[in-house]
Amino acid sequence: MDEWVVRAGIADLPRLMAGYVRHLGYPNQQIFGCSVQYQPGLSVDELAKAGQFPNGQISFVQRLDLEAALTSLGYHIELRSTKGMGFHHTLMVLYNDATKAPLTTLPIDAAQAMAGIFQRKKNPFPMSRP
Amino acid sequence: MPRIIADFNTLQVDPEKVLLGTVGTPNGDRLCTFHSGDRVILDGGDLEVEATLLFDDSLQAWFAIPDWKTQREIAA
Repeated sequence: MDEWVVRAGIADLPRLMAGYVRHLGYPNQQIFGCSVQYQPGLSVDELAKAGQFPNGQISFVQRLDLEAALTSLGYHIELRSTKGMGFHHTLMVLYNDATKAPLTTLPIDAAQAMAGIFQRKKNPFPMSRP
Repeated sequence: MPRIIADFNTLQVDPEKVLLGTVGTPNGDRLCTFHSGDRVILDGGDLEVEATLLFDDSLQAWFAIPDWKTQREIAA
């Protein structure tokens, strides 16, 4: 089964690092990560539509490829369903050790690895804003 | 007008404003010289838009409220 992870715009290093923020909908939890659309079995286009992205482009990657890229660097990922549009998840990066400690900032090596494996295409459903 | 790197994916959580960062993190602390009401350009990589900064005291978080009439696509 396909397990696409879809983001608005270009998943480059600056945007991935800037987008790695705390989810403020959970005041009693430290949920840090990047906002993504994720729902196993749905296509990239279906996820892009659900995300209502304003950008003209989208970036997408298979979950397994993302996991492999980060595991090789000593990180672990968690895709946690969190409050937001569509099939919103927070892509959390954790240390891949016994602690599985979550990271409050995305390390540069992790951001570079992620930026290198996201594919890009035109957003089939760009959402115009008022 | 200052340019700030921003990720429009945070609009999936709050479609009204872009979350730039919280105090105590690099994303939030990079904005310590700004004030609520300052005008900036949000650089989203393939999309840029003028916006007004907003600091939420209760959340200790920086947001930007985009002026979507000014949005421009950037050749990537």
